[in-house]
Amino acid sequence: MIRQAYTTVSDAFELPRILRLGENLYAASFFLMKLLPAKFILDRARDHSLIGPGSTIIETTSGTFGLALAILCAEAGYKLIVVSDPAVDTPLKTRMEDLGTRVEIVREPAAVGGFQGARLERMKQLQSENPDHFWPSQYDNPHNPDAYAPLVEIVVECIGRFDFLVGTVGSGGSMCGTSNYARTIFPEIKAVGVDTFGSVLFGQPDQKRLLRGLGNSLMPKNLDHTIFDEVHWVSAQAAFTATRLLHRSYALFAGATSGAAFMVARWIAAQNPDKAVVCLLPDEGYRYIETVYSDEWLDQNGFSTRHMIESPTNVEHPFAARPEWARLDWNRRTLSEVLAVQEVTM
Amino acid sequence: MTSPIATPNTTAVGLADSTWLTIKKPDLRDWKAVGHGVCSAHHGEILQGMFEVNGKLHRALISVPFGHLISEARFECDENLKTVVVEPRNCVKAQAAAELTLRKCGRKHGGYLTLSSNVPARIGLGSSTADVVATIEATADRCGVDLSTEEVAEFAVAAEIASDGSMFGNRAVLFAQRDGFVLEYFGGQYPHLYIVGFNTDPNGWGVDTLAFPPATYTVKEIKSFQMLRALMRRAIEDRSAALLGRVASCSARINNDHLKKKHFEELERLVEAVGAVGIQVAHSGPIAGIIFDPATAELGERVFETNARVAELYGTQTWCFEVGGRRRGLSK
Repeated sequence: MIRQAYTTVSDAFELPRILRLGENLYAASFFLMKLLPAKFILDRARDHSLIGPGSTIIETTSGTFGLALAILCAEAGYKLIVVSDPAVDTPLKTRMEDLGTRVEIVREPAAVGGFQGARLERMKQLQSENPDHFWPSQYDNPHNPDAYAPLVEIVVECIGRFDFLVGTVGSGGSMCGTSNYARTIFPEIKAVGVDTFGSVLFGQPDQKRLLRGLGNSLMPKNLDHTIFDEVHWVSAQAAFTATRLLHRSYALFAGATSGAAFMVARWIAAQNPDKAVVCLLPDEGYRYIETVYSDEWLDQNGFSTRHMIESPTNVEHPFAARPEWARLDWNRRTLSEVLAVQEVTM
Repeated sequence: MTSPIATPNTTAVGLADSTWLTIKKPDLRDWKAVGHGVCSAHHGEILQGMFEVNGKLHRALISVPFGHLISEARFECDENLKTVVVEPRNCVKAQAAAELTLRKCGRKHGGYLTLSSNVPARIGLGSSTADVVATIEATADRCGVDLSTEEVAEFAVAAEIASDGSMFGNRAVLFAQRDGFVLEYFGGQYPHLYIVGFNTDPNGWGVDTLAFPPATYTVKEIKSFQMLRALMRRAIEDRSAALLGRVASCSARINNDHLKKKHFEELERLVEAVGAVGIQVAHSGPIAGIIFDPATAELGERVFETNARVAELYGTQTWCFEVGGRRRGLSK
């Protein structure tokens, strides 16, 4: 098919590039993966006349979903208010504000749900002040997972059939959506979710997390646990090491969540030499220049990226998962089924 | 009837050694007394759905070529007739196609159209498109106009509202059946396929293509069709029967929610059980086919098993044919 000039930046940048990193290891490397769900959600809202030029969009996020919304709202002429917390990094905030987004930072965490809870409270307040607003609600909006067909499209065009899909989980949208679409063609595809310690998504108790961009303090509706065959928990230390390895080995300059997904996918590819493994790399490395890519920052914060951890520790129960890297055979069970398994003390 | 030899158009062509050769340029407009056209049927679709092109949605399909059944048309001009007289007389779509083609070729008169076809109607094999395409070719042939396949497609849709992609024969194309143009040429050949075909409603009345409303697909289904279109590209590039089978099975499953095939779930299980690569259906009739990779071990036994199971499900016999690749009967 003939290539056409793109008419918007969001069109030009929404799809990943597919890279072959090894004999059976492929990466779908995004500039900004969240463009896919943000665009699909806004397009459906527009189709149903929920929004139009000049509408106000209100969302809470401290991550790249906010940037994706900022880009799309700037293109379409919507007003955007993003409620965030101190974890939002300066590059992200700078870009959103330059695109005309009003970024509100909550300063104190809530008693339940931490900063995420506090953000939700503030957002509710803003929503009542702007009764005519639209809330994309990436954690609960079913259009988030439904947005991922174009990803499957490009992957199957480039490599045909594949066996494993590996990706980090935050809202559940990308992994659940991609797996569901891919399984309409290849039902036997195994879905491997990558979470981090201290995230409630796969049954760990909520704790402060050093690794951002994956995991969650609240349970999103878009997370369907029963699609997962395997779940891995990865520490910040392990993910940072893998992020740097990805850069050094392939010159692939990606963020820390990409490092986490790559680390797990690389191991699965080695374990299953006759299966094709695809991992999702959600964004680029620019936001991490001062941190993950800075040896000085890593030293000061007690991280060392010199030694790659080569394999995970298998656990039977989420509570048994300990840093740096744990793995559980999820076998497409519900969370309560997994939690009901008697915890084996080790 | 003007003889082409009598036309005065001559062109002088210079050759290197200054030998001069005169070539007569024939006037083809009335070269033939009778125009001929032929078009084969198809065996339903590999993919049928709705596809987005530059923000616009188009219904489109990829047909399974089926060269065993054909329609043949003969067309003769008659300056004294204003319309086209067709035989058999119920072929009104073909009659419209002949008249449309005559006007497009700048003719004001009518003529005689004779069709002969062994394509059964109303079961999804594209009988009317085969008639219409053969007619357009015969009429244009009589008028000395060499139409491109794309022009034939455009005329066919203009004549019968919705046409299958049969005019493209063995070429894999995604054809917009109501717009009359190709959304995508997949290039390359079909992978080699061995298909066991049958009628899922052998005692039914069949389907009048224009009588039932076209399916209304959901946004998710339209997104899925885009995925299948992408997988089709890979299937053609790799000449993979397995991937093509997946495209067909997924398309069949989505469309089954809109136009149910009898015992469709049993057919899906049959595909698994006999080691086939997929199932393809006609979306405007009861025809279906179980797709095999001809390289599969013990193909004969698997086909035998398929025949038995189809007989059990539908009480009917099957037929077998091949698509793409190097078919039996072709020398190396």
